[in-house]
Amino acid sequence: MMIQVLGFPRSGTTWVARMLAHCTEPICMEPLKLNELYLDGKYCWPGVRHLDIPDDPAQFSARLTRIANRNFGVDLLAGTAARKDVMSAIEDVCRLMPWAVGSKNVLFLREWAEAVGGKLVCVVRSALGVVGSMGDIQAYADVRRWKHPGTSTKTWPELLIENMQREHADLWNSIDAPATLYGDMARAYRIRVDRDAAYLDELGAKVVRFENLATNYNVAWGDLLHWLSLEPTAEFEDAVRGSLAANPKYIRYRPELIDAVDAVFPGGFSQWGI
Amino acid sequence: MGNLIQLLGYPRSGSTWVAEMLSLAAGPFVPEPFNMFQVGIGSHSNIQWLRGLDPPANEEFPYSGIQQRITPICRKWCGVNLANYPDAQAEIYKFIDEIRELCPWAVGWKQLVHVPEFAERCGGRLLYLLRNPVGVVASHAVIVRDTAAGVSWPMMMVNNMEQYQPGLWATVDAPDTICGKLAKVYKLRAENDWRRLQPLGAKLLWFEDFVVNNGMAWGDLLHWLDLEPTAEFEKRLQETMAPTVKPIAYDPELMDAVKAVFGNGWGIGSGSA
Repeated sequence: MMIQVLGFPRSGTTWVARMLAHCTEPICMEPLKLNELYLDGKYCWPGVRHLDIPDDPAQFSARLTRIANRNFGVDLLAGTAARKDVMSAIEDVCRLMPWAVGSKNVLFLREWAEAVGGKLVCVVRSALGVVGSMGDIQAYADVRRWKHPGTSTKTWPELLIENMQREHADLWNSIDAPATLYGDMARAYRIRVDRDAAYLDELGAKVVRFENLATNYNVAWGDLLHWLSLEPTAEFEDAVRGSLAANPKYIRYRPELIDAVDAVFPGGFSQWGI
Repeated sequence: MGNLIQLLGYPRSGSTWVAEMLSLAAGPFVPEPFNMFQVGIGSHSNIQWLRGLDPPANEEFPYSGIQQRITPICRKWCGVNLANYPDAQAEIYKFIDEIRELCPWAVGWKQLVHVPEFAERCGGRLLYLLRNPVGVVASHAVIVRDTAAGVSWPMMMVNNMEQYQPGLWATVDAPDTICGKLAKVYKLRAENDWRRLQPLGAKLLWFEDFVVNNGMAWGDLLHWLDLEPTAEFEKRLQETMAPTVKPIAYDPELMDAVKAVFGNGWGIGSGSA
């Protein structure tokens, strides 16, 4: 059975996919990213079996990375060159690496859902968690750049913001947010999750909250597994509980983060839980 | 009211845990004064929240007398929007005032019944804690099923709302099951409470955020309360976050009820069958 775990980056999709892999076939991690990170043989994702890689993985990977970087976060309208590029990349992944189909994806959720189908699980996480995590990634990159001044690679939050500001200026400007990096990140998350979750819902996806799976785990996972026609194995139960062991983070007040989330996700009572 | 903090919430939303954690940064929290009187102060005397409060001993204080008067009132009106029943509201206000006068040490508490009345009467920094309906309704359903005799408190709320607010009750579609009724009460009660608490400047909190996005959520709350995380606070947070072992199970009655009552809202999503 084909299962696709789809969600915005840092929404808990890796954890959800790993847990599901204990009840069903292995779920590959982000085929587009897989090309970037894993196909050169330095790494081997434990969930991946029968690795048949393209003849020229480096070239294939470079092509996919260019397409992903350029279009990440953008609504790919029918007939545009960007959509053709992305759909062609997805088709190539399906053809060259069929083992990677039935995967978790954090990029081009709509396109993956349309092209591949199957049972779609859309993971949504609180804006506080997602935007806070994006901020951590950026902070880490900033330190790295400071230590290695020659490093110029953009982070994915930077690429996302750049792409959305370029391609969706009106939409971008329609949302009030503080003029900070956190404000931009919150805007990017809201635009993407608003549109993708609604779209996937229409395609029959099951929209699940990461926090619910992590906190009210017994009933939330019970419901998701039932929906997927899966049974919880003993290995699955151990894995869920084992991975939920206390993971306290450094407690700190981050005013720019809180201000951004409050501004971009107002009235969060019923929608966002912020 | 100075530094008074009131932790208000819906039962089974994690308020005990949040109150315990806050007590490690803010000082003692008295758990549910109304409930305390029902149970008797003696049974609470050892809990760490009461450290330093020095409540009077049972024989020195008219706990049982207060309890006898307060319990029937609570039972009769729990779950009901008292703004529609001014006489009952006045009676609750009277009890609240009496508690404030007799037990000033019990002010600055966590409170789960008559939430708007406590907020309006006592003021302070108001926190309103909610939890995903899947967790709340599942927990209430267990209480209902485990109650061997008499009426469980979740069903008391259901009965009260059906009796005193039939018009409001009828506005929400739900399966005609125990879980359906429990989901309805939660939705109506929480939405009504928040409508009254929001203008008072209350801060809305989600239990799940404190567990999953804990560093940021606790950091924000402590800052809002002008508190700092103590070493004891951080240590206890780590100790209490490991999940309790619960079997993973599909509960169709629960899921049908929550989906019918909350739809796509409250972060539960829908999903096709």
